[in-house]
Amino acid sequence: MEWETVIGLEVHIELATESKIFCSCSTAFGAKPNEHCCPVCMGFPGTLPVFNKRVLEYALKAAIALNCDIPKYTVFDRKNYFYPDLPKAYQISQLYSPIGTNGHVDIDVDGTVKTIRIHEMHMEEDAGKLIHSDIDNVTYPDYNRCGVPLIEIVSEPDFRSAKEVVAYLEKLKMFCEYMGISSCKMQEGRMRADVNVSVRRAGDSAFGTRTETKNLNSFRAIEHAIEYESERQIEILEKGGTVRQETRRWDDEKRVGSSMRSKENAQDYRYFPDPDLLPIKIDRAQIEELRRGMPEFAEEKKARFIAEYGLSDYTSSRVTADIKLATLFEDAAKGCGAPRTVANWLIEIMPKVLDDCGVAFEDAQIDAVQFAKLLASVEGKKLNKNMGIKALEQLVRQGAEFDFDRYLKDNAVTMEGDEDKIRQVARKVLADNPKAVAEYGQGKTKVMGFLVGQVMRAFFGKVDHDAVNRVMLEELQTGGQR
Amino acid sequence: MELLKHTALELGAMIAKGEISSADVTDAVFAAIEAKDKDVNAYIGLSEELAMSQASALDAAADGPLKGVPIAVKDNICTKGVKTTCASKMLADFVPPFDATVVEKLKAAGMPIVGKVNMDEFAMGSTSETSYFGAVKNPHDLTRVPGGSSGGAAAAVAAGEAVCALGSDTGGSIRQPASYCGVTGFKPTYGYVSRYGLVAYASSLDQIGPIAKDVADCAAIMDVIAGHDGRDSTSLNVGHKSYLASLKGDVKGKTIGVPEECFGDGVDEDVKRAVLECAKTYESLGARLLPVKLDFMQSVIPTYYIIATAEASSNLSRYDGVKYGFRADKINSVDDLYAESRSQGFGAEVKMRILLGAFVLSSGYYDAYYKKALNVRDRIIAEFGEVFKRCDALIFPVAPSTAPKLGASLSDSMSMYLSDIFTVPVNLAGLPGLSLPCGVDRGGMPIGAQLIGARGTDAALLDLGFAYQQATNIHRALAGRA
Amino acid sequence: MTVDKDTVTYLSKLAKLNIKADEMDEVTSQLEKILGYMESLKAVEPTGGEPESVLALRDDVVKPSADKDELLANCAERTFFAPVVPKVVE
Repeated sequence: MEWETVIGLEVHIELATESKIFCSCSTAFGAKPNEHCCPVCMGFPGTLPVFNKRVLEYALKAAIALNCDIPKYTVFDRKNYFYPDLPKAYQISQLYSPIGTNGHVDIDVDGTVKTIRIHEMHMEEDAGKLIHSDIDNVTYPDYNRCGVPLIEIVSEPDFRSAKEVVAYLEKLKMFCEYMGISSCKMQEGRMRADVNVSVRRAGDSAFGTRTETKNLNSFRAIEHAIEYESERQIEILEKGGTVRQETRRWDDEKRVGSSMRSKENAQDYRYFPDPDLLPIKIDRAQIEELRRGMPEFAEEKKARFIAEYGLSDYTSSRVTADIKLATLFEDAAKGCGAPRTVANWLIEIMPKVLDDCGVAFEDAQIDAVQFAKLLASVEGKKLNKNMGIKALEQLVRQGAEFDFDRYLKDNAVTMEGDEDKIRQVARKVLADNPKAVAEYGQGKTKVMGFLVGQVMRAFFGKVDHDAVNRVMLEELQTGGQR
Repeated sequence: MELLKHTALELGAMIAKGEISSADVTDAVFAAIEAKDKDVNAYIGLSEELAMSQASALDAAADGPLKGVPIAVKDNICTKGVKTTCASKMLADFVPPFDATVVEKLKAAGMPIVGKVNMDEFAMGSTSETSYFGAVKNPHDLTRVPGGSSGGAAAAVAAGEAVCALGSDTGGSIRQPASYCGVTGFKPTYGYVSRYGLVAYASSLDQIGPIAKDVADCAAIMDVIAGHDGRDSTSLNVGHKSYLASLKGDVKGKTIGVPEECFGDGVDEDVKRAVLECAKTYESLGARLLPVKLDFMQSVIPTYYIIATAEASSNLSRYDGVKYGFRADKINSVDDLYAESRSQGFGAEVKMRILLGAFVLSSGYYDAYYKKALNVRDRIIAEFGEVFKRCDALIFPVAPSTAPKLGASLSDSMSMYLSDIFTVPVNLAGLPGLSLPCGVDRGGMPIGAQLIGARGTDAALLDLGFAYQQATNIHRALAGRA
Repeated sequence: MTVDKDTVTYLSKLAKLNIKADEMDEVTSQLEKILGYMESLKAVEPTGGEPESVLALRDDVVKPSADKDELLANCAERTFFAPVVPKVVE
């Protein structure tokens, strides 16, 4: 019996604005509980919401990137329910006139392109967090997160595998990073996904009963939860049972899902347009301006890098994996004129250097101009590779302070490139080592390594190895014409 | 006490001239409260410290005709550091950490705030009998209600326990108690006065406005409190010329519509007579009276109550015992905490309206109730628009009768709702409305005439009212100043 | 449209209000009366047209948050950093 898994996704993305959606409190991460609150986001009597224009801008960008229809007026609605992380006992969200509908995203899974349809996307305010006491039977609401702006993207049930889901999430992440509207870091809770899973016999057109698994916060957890839930439902149905529609939670450590009994009954949210907020007019001209200002997304950029910089498909993929990396690549490549070297250093060398310095790439301050100078030096043989890597380490450690020219001066790391100087030293070495010269003459060419090494030592290693080799060979072959 | 026979403007002039001090007036108010409030129960709490410190620090305030004149504030308007109870057990100990915008403006204008006046619980009612702190009495007859929900404000002014007051009006709550108590009350165009800091009942209907001895005082108070506020998204961003300076007594050439639906069978004969006499006075002053039809009148009550209860049910969900307000004890779960705190903290009328509101928004009923009411409201707005193409103002009673006896209305909510018929359409359409004392009934109880205008015609409307009060004496007689 | 005790029970759960057994009859009958009256409202066609006013937008600027102790001062039950509620099982 062939079974098919059907998945729909609801993805919440935190928008990277400075202030909250309806008040001027900071959205910064990591504050102590209730330090980023005010009477408005805490729902005090008499307070009113005032809408942050950057939320509209970011939400529109997302709607455009997701190919959504955008209405002339979009409206905020109240979603009414009681929960301790929701101080007003309603969430300001959108139902009747959301900012985007009928969108789509193309995903690439193992070479096959598939279109995922987007039912709708809307803006809403986030709720707070609950801190549960380990000692007492109490819970402490932390309202810092109340009012952080979110967009929620609801897909049609078009997914048929966990792989497709991950490809879609990676694409959403790429869009948001490239447009600068969210970091989408799941581990920080900036992107959260609820998965709706159902199964049906292959060939059936009707959908099976679906369950919802909420608040999965890593790609791994999502994959595991989907596989688990799919198997669980198939097992039930094969035994002749029925799948119960319910909300479930997933424990990724134990790899086990369980029912959240308290949310069993469908809630009557009594949505109605928020009378404290008027309809938002969306100017067609504004949409066009935003559309024109859309960044080149990863696929386009990848193709262009292949064409313009001669990168391989693999290299270009790696380098366009995130916008910071892609921008660094391009700026450095233009700066030093050696795109393949830049790519190579970014993909092969940079990760290790970052690791040694204990710095994550997203936090590193790597100036493209300095990086380009460094690579130009290596390309121009003024710096050998090892020296270059040491310099890169300093670049990473010093961040914005790093000045490559000053570094060269301070560390006297330039390699000698002057052939006359090399020749001078080579001749001295030959003069000091007649025995070795004689052995070379007898055909023991291996001794050349020793002689080259002596020249290298004389320069404390700061000399172009290839040039030394060449000069030494010349000198030996011309038999020491003095 | 003689001081308190004066209007706010008269007192303001005396203070400016140095004939009396702000402290003199403020002291007189407190003495009057001491003498009379045990009978009237107009006040929930007094703010002596705040008032006296304001009275003695007048230099800090801007110059204006009301500088130094004390004022009472309805207890659903947030006053920083001073209890704001909304006449409910739910907020009996609530001390806001911020001032409402109108309170900031009163302070900037140098108007000492003497105390918080009594009202129907959460502004839901037409008699001020649902207050947790006991019913307010009508100073003209202590066995009768003062009207509601700003009953305390109107009674305080009528009893000489306040020079003037701020009330709020959602379905008539300024105009009706003003008419029952024989004082002048004004509800501005929706959006003219900031709602920031007004504890919300029905967000699309609520407005703060003045209650005072005459129109000139109301106009002077409007100059203090009106204006755009960035903290209230429904606040209109328009300039306001001085309302006081607009009082010229211009009546000649004005057309005043007289709607036949408002003078029918359900209206008390004395009320009809007094209001029609008021209309005749306007005619004698040079206005033209025009009979008009308001076809929508039979739909106004259900439309109002559907919208008001829907918004109220959502606005009052935040009262859950967690962040502020009454918290039940002996509870074992969060659900319990919510249900017990709310059930014990709210009175019966408030609970009824919350249930009604939940119903009209609930799944399956939203279209048939709430959505339908919104459509009817749009129709009412359009029809008023048509009428105001032919008239500068309309005149009709504030209420079908004069003040009923205490206890007469409580048994039957429905008939109490029906008595709001002449006031609610004004809130539905966001129009300005003025309540003018125009006579007394055979029992000596005050009767109010209502003047309404198109949105934004507040200055012209106040001017019309001013003209009437220049030409007549009823408002002076009822304020004991004839 | 029927309004009976089940309706009241459903609504009271939504609104987190406990209606006591001895109040149930009164509340049900009041609710039924008022809702029946509201139901009589005659429907009209939507007028269509654009909204009269549109939402004003605020610049994305951070302002200092309120003092935590001020915000928590009205809590009936609190710890130094938050209000306290009975434990919630998520």
